[in-house]
Amino acid sequence: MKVAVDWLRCDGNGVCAVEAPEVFDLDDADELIVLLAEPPESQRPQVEAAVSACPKRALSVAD
Amino acid sequence: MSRTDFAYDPFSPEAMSDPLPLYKVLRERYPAYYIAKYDTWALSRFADVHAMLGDTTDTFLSTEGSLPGPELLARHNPGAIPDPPTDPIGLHTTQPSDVHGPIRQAHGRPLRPGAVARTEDDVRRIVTDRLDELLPRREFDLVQDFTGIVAASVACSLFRLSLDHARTVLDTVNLSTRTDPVKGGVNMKLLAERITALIEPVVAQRRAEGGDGSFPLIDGLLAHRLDDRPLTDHEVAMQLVGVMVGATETLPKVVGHGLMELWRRPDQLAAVRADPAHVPPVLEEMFRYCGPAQWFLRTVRRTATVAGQPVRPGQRVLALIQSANRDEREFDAPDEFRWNREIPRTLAFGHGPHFCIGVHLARMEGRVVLEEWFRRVPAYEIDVDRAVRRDSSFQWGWGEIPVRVATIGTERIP
Repeated sequence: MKVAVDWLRCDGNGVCAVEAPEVFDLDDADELIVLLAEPPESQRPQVEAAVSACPKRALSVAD
Repeated sequence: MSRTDFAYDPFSPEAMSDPLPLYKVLRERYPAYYIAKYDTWALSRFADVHAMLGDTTDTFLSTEGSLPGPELLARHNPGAIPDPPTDPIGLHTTQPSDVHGPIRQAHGRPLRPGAVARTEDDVRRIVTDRLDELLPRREFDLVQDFTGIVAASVACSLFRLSLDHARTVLDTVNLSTRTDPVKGGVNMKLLAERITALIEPVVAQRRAEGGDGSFPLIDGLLAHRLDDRPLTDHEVAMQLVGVMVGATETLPKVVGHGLMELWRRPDQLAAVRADPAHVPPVLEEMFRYCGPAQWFLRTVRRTATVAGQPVRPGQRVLALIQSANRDEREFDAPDEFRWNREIPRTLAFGHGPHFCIGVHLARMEGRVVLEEWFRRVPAYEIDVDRAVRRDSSFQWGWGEIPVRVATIGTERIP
């Protein structure tokens, strides 16, 4: 599973970091950090929740 | 009303005085309702609005503005319409995502969650100063004197304007977003002129000082390049109209109306007062139940399907946000105000490319306003007979709510 961020869309809202804190975080400048670009399968439910919760629709997952 | 005589027009007197019963019929019978005179499909169910606004393929754009009036909509488009000019550029929100996205990012930094959190003390000072002035009066207007002035003051501090401008900002924004009682639309040209007149001097001064990045709201736009050229002062001011209006317009009406709903339900008011941890959930319910902004329009760029209905390029799609917020398919007993309702997803701030850029500020400011209100006001009474909800096709919210308060030490309402 690969996580992709559309950086043109990301506002740094941080919703993904709440849904999947092991995969996403915000730094001190409110910039999104992808902690795991290829998260393990065990993280799939959290990652999918993050993708669907992103209000800017900036995230996607490739299998 | 019978099946045949139902009609929905967002600019009709009926819709402008109370659209909620109309939304109910739309959701039940016509999930994609065609308004022939505007060549527009109205979406009323949560899932359909969510899906359409969440489009990331530039299929549904705000090319004609998100709040066009009936005169514009009466002119039908024979097919896809071109993007608006970029030299000079008007509101960036009318542009496709490759132009809109970078301009949004160029001024959005101070509205990101960490940056907003760092302004909480300043916002709390604005709120407590305002309460210090108002509470001894014992009678005032909850929206015009309290939440409106607080929001306009916060908007002023975002733009580094003296707080003395708050009343002017509030009055200008309220006047400019008011819809024409007869024709029904918002005069966007006049709105942009009035608001840019407030912002442009700030931009000019900042350009003269030299934007070093420490005033990110403006500096990001001064550094922005569009087709390899900088933006003029007026163009920068235009891109910030949404921030100024958004910061001033909506939150005061949401929180004012929300406090009115709580006052009507003493048991809920007591439950919310009992614990500061109950403020964030009641605020979310206020955003759902009390949101004044009724709808946003998109123009179709490519053939697509909404709510099962094929739409063709040039047609419009109307996202009825407040209908979605009352959708029985999404919320249990949606017409009830419940402070502790589960709200797993919300459309109160929109969704997708134009998702409210001020969401974090709105949540923090709303929370601080409520925390301080409950801390300082042991009891209050709303004069519902004198409260005013002006008819509107767009900002249908409670703009005037007279209130009488008890204060600490004088715990009796006058």
